Amino acid sequence: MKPLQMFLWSLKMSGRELRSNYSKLLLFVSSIIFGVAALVSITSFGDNLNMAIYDQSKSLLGADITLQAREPFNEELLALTDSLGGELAEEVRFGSMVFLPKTGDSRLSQIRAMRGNFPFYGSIDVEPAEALNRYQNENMALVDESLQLQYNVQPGDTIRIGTFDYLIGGIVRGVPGETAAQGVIGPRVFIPLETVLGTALLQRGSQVTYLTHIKNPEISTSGDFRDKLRPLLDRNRARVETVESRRASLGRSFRNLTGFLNLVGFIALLLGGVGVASSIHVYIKQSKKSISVLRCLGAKLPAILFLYTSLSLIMGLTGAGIGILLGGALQTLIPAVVQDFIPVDVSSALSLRAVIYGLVVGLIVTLLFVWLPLAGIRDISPLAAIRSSYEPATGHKTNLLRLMVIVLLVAFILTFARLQTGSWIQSLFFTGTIGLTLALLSLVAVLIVFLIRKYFPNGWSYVWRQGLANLFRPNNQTRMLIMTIGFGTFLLAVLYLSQRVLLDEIRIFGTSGQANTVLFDVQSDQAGPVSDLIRAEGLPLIEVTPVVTMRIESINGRSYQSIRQDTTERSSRWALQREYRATYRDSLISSETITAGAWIGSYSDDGSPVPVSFETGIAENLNISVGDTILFDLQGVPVQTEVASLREVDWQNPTPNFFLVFPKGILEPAPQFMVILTRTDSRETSARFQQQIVRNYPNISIIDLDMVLATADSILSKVTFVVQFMALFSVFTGIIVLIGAVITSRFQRMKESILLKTLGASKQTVTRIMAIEYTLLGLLAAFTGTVLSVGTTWLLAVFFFEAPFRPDLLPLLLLMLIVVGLTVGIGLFSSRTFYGQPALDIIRSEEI
Amino acid sequence: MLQIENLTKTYTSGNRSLTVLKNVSFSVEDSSTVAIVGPSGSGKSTLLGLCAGLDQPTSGQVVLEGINLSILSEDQRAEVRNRNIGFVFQNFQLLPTLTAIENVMVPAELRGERGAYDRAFNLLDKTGLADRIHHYPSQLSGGEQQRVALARAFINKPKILFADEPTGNLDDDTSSGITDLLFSLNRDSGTTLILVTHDLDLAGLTERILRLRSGEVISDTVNTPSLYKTAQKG
Repeated sequence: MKPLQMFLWSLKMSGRELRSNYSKLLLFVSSIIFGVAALVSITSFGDNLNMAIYDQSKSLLGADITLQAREPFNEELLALTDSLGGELAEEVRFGSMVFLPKTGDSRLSQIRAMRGNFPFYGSIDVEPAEALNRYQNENMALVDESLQLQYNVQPGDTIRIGTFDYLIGGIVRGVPGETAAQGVIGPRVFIPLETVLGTALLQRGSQVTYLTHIKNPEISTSGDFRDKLRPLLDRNRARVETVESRRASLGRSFRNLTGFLNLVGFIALLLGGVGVASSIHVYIKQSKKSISVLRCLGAKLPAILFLYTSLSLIMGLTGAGIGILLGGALQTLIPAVVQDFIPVDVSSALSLRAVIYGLVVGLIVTLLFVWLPLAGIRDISPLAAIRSSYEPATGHKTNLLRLMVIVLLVAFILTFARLQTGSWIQSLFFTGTIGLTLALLSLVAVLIVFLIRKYFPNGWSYVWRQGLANLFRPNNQTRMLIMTIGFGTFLLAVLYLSQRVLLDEIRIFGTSGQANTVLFDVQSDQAGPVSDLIRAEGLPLIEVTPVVTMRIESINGRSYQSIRQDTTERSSRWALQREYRATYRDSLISSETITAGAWIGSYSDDGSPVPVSFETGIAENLNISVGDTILFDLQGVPVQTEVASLREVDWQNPTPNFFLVFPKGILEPAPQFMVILTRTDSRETSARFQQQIVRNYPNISIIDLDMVLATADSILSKVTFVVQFMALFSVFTGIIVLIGAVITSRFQRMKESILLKTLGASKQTVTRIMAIEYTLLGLLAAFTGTVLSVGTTWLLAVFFFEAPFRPDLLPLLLLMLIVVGLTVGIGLFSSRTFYGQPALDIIRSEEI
Repeated sequence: MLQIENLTKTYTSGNRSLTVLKNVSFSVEDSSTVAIVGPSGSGKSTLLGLCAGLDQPTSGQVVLEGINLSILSEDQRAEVRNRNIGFVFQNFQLLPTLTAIENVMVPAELRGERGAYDRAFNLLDKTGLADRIHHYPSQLSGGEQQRVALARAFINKPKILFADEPTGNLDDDTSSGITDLLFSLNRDSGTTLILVTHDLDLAGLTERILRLRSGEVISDTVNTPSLYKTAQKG
């Protein structure tokens, strides 16, 4: 038979096979539907997002160029601004308490003091719209929707910032280039710039950013524009953003997001692949007689392999096709799911690339997983046609074909993960975790079957013995079901536990007795009166910590600019350029441990470098160690220091922790502000206290840690929802695989049920036997998956989140119960008609 | 046309081995009919499997139409089977997903030949199933299924036909019909017939009877076929 003839014959035979077994085979490939749907929907969303970022890139920045610095622009920066030309708009951004006289509430907000027509591109979505044109001239404020939702403020109400009362002109529904989540963290309040310049709000210590936005500059911003400006900007610790750079950085962030979501979707597809492999395995087992007859009649191995491959391909195409349709429908929902985290309006058109991608990946997964069981066809002897009990001796030999398929499968998963994550190490971790989890689940299944066989409880009742025996009888689905149900449980439990780890990490702040209110930017002369106010309110004065801001000027005699420009230097740009908020004291606090050098708590100004202590992480970022010298610019005054010690800091400890600590004896006279910690025990006390502070000391910012916790909780819940939304694909796949597995082994079970019925077993007995089998399967799978998830989350907590891990057992037990209930429910529902089948049909049937 | 020389087959399971055929030798002439008879476990089916190239002997060789099957790979033997051999099984072994006519066409299709449908139809017509060609095996009686199997066995005009207990799963009436059909098709096509059975009446219809016991040929006798015996049975 020539290759072409073989191809045509195989296609013809697949068509005939499909005609008779279409519904059975459709169930096999339906396992991949949700995986393909996940990939298609995420890829299409990613494509639409990229297109939106490209199309809306000007409104993402709102200008052609934005220059920004942490200090008012000096002459050099002003000269640069002038040289760029075009239309200008100015902005000063800072955090400040706002007070709402109508409700008496205060809230730390992001103040945007504006002058000019920014944004030049796109528009702030304000209600009423005309408020946007009026607020700068009429000294009004535009406030974030989140303030309206939280405190029910309306246009016409008053908002106080510092000592200035503003009429609320409008409610901000959206800011181009910014996400809704940004407004939740700190509500945005737009006010005219003139009203804040020269006020106490912009005092030393405040985190203020000065921005100049430029429209239609007279020079081109493409190509090496930013590189040319870099030396000047570095010198002045300023940054520049262009439409291109904003587009590129956003594109990178969202590629990471869609890459991550695609990986979650890919897991669903792999899970489906396991289902396909298992179903085809049973299908081939059931077709063993037909295959041996075909071989008797002269069909060669390649022809039979090709027959079943083309059959699987046709079904894979069908499954992927349905998956693409479902993915196309689902991708219209994704923008709504992630809308709080994306700064652009994304269309919901299905991209052609996503369709092709879903089809190709779906087919590859189908083929690879199908070839695993198909490799076993080689062992089916034509002799089986005349000797039904014949088992070839070659069955246990290493099957090279199967080995090759496994290698291909691993290579494919690695490559796919590499494409999504952009890192071979992450891709190895991803592939390794999946492989190890599936291998452990498989091992548990084999072990359990072995133990049940070895220690079979012969003294138990018939129903229990039969239910247990079902786990190891021929054509059992024990291993496959434990792998798929266990893997689904594992995924859900890891997601849930990781979320808890992150939330618990934040919740430490909320524990009884710890500070829950932090006062920032308290000036030296305000520290005494504020402390008195705290005491007068009956609140505990937990801690008063001085803070001095400074910047690195040079390290070991090399200026930070030259270190930054040195491409061989390992120091991080962020660590070099940031503003350091240091404190000074004579002793370590409970959250600190010296890891290198020695702690020096006091300094007598003898001209030697000041012995300072760095946190280990930042020291690593700066590439410094004990003995290195660092020159700081302390608000215009040079201070030469030497690294005397490195400290490990427990950042979870709710006390002000610092990257950099000075000894006593040098910083006392420096310009500084205080951080004061206290605790309020009720919402009313907190509101009253905040009102007093805002009224008397408008420059002081208050962080209400309870609110931070609630905000973090809500944001984390939204992130979790997105991930859980993707994990749902795996859950649905798991359910389909479960249904597929039950139906695949339907005939075997039906035959046994009928035989039992013929021998006198009641319907109740037959049902109980199956219930015991499915309960055991569900329990073993859910238990193993949960135990593995606890182990994996522990690893993630220790090595990735660096947080303590205390698993909450009750939700895990609940998850296990749901999984077991689902397994038993689906198992019994699919087998509900077995007992009523005519006995003779089943007993006579040859196909097992 | 078929030469069997010192054929031995031993199955090994763990440390134990079981020899089911011991140094069996015989040859079969073209167009002759031979019955291999013996009690259960005497090695009949194993011998048939080896003769048809379905399995490899532990030692000895099978030469079919001048081709030594013992040195061929499984795929090469598959081609030899397709070109030279027809099969009839006790359990009919029709492919459940194919209709009657499709089952008959398979061997011809595997050769890549044109006109398979017409030939299959003619054969089914001869077997009296012209009106049931589109029925699936599950819609046919046992006798009808075996007639489809007979049609399939002859579609490639095999040089040799192996029949393994062809009436073993049928009632007496149906058996005689199938037996008549088997011998008549065999006669018409001049095919060599090797029949494995423990039905001595059926064996009596062949020209030669080989008796097996415990894996050895204990007698090889020339027989005068007595067609009337099948008629008498009914």
